[in-house]
Amino acid sequence: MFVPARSFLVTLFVLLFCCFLPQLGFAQKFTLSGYVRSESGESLIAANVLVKELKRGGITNEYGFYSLTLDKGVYQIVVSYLGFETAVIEIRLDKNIQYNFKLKSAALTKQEVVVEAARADQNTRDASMGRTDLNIEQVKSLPALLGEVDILKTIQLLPGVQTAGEGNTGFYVRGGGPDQNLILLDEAVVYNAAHLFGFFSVFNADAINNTTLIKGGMPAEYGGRISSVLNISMRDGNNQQYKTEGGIGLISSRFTTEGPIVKDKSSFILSGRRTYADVLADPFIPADAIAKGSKYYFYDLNAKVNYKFSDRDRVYASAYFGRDVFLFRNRESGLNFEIPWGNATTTIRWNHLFSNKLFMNVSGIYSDFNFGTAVEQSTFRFALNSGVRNATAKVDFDYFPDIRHQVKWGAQYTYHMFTPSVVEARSGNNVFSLPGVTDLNAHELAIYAQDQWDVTDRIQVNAGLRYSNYTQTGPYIFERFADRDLIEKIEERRFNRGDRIVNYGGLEPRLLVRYGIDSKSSVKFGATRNMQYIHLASSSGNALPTDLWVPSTLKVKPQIGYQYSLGYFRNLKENQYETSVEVYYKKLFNQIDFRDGSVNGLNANIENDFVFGTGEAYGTELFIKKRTGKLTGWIGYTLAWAWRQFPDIMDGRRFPYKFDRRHDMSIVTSYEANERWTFSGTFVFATGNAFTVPESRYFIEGRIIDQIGDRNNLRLANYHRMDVAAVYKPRKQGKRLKNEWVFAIYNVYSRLNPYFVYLNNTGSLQQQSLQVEARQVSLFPIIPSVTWNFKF
Amino acid sequence: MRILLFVLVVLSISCERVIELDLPEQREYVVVHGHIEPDSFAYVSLSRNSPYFNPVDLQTVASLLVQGALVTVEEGGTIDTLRPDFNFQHFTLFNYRGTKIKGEVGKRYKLRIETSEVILEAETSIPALLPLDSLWHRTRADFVREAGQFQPTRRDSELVSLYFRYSDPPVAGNYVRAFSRRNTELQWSSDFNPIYSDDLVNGQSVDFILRRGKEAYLFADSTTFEEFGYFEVGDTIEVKWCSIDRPHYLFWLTLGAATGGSGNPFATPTVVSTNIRALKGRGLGIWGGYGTLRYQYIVR
Repeated sequence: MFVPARSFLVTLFVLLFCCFLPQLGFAQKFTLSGYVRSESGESLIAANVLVKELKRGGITNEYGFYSLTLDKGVYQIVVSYLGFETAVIEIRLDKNIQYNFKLKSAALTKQEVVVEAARADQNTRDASMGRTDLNIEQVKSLPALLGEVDILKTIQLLPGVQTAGEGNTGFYVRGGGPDQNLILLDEAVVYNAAHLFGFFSVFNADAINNTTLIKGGMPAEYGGRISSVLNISMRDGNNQQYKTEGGIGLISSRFTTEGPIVKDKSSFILSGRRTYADVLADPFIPADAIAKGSKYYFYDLNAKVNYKFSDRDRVYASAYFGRDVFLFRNRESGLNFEIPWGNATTTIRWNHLFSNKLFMNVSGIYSDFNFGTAVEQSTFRFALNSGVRNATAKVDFDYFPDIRHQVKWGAQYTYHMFTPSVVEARSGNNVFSLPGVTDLNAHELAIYAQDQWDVTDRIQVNAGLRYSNYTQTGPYIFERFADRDLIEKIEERRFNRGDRIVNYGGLEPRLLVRYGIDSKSSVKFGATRNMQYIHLASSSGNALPTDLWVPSTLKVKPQIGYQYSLGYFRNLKENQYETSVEVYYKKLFNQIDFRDGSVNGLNANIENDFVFGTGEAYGTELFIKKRTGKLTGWIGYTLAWAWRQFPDIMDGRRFPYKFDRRHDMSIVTSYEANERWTFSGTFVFATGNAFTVPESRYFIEGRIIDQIGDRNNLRLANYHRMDVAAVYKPRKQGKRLKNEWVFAIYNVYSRLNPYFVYLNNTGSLQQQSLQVEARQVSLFPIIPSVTWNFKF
Repeated sequence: MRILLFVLVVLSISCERVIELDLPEQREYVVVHGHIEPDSFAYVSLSRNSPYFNPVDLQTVASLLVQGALVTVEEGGTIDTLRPDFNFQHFTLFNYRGTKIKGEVGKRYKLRIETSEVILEAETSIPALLPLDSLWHRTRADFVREAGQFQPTRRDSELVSLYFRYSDPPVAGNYVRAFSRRNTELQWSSDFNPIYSDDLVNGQSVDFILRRGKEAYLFADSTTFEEFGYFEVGDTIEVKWCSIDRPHYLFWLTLGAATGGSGNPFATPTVVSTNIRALKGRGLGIWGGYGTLRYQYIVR
């Protein structure tokens, strides 16, 4: 099983050895290392640590750690992070020095409202492509639907990222599927990031520290998905003083409390959010109402603690738990209907510093997504349960041999447990259950190494190699049929619990190269190969909780994605403006879809309903951003194509992917009028979603049947919308209590954007007057909202 | 289930309007609806598909019927050339009927259709009969009393649900389509798409409700929404309980999913499966064998 891994290890050591080579034969070198944190003790992730004299530096890792190894000398070190005052210190480096930066929070009104926590020219200087770091403070200043701040909706405003539809948090990156985004919350996979059928994400903005989206050129440290990485880190909690903040909004209310357990050593944060329409409405529903007791609500809980044992060791434990609950009761018919679903994650991490150059993190992670349905009426009961769980152990090393290199290597092991639909039905004394397998299991292993290397002043390379290996274990039933209708079974193989069934694996090289043309502009190239061992069987493409996660098996091969991208980056007016043009090409293998004529629902073996094919996507992204000044913001435009092709669908002809958007544009602006008022606005335009309509109809036994045309053969009308928001900070602020008002208007000119289109029959055949018409459903007209936020 | 969720979310805030859709150009199909039963000759009706937004009335439907086709059924070397037949009580006024081969349980039948536009072929079987154990009924008053919220009305004690008990044989892969009619009705109804597979209940004995379908096709049905699916005290109910093979089952299953509105407006619509193979042109529909058993039940 691990033979290929051995050869990979050799490659890895050669690579590491090469990294150390530049160290040999140089003058005396010393290391400056430490952490960059906020005053309240939050780790500042991807903060810039610049050596002014060398115009070179590094960025902090996920725990705020940095390390610079330099020739003996005197240096000015400039540390900057968005929303914080830049720190400058002079260091005489004649021995190894440990220095922790504590950045002061700049008043929100004074900060540059830009997306990246970037050094002014980081855009053109480093090799990373398609990477965006979002600071939660900026996310909070943009207009939000019903005042609910949502990180995923802000991400959709970036070029190359598409939304699933009106008000939906589902996102699609460069023609990839929703399952191809690796969504991590403190390293734990979040399988379904949506509440209320996609209208809200599970990420409570008050509990989030930093968000990074990587849509192209995924570094080797990430794997298991072929499209993008969305890495979200929870806040550590204030380690200086107790703080409480919250907000009262139209949809939900939030409450967060944090503080030191042992000052400077240990802190905690506890954050909760719940919708409360059900609670407010309940007293007004008469006790004898037919549907009394029916309700919908969701809630989230985030908790995190950390403890610093010494300067070298620190332990973090964090957890997330969220549920959507939908209850329907009909007293008259005795019908009871219950659908709970949600995610739970737990992460325990240990940071250890072996030396001032070598940082290690060890993590133990558990994540779980579960969906259930139960219907009860009289003697009848139906219950369906499905889910996915995984347990992961991983270790990562950050090594900073000298200022030209930032090396990372590590290993990861994951045990996957899938519960495809488990159905139990009871009618009187009859109990029915689907025959076949109730759980599917797999082991996934990966090792990687990567180096961010400043080869020359002009050339920077981020090269990495990942090797992943996957083994499916029993129980499992493999079935093969001679025909599409699954009539004639020509093979059946049954595997017992623990049996090794199939092994997949492969190398995943990742390469990013930056070539500096001059101090203001550069060209970057990226090429990656990614493998993904899990799939989402989605009948909707709308991030519904009913979508089913399935593993790669003997029948379902792992997804493979190749991506090539090329970009030109240029900063203007002394880095006040950032501009870029990127082109990309993507090829996806082993994509799954449901075969024509599959009726979604009860299936002993859902795999038998899959067909397999390929995907292709290409496009151009333009981005112009104004970083500084009173008026800031960006314009992003994407011209893109996305295709799918399956031998068993439409006789193998290719068809547009559901989220094939020819044009996609976002304009985001923010204007800081004075210390009390900040105004912001967004405008989005997107080509309508593709959908499938019938071409004609026919009649059998007096029934009217639609003859379905090619997949995605029509487009909804174009989508466009403008939102505005104003944040007001009252002049009178209490000594401890700080508060602000957020006024927002969603869909200012009340455009009736299409949510979906359905075909409606009117009249009846018996009355000789049957007609059909197409009806377009729109969700949100103009919606004003107000939110009050407080902090003490 | 999903439609319910969407409806709840959508109704609360949405608005809708009629729009014009510019549908892609339609392809021409010949639609086959044919079956064969024990002790009956084969029946086949042929029609064309219709442009999507065309209004539908009986004249239009009649104009879609395909006449002048050469339709043959073959079994064990015997060929039956079907003859044109008119049936004014039927939705498809014009169809083709066999004169030579009568259906038999356990046999396979090949269908061939030739017109100037198409050559279509299909094959079906009449599977072994799957008898019912028993039929009985319960009144709606029984249900209301059970729920315990209201007193049953007089009407509640007149409306009944028809129950059946079926014991599935031990070997998997049994499929059934049921029909019913009552009193003087001429047409068999299969409203609510009563089809059953033993996927979940192989080898078990099960009790289910067979709902009354409205008398189909030509006759307007005045049943109110509240009384849909119920028979009445005094009805003489006939039940046709037919074993069918898997392709035949899949056709009605997918047809039910497609016409019932599977509920998710974002999903790709269900494509109705077919067992018709086109050697020339395009074909759709079903050629199916029924292993028919008939039962009578009088509601007393």
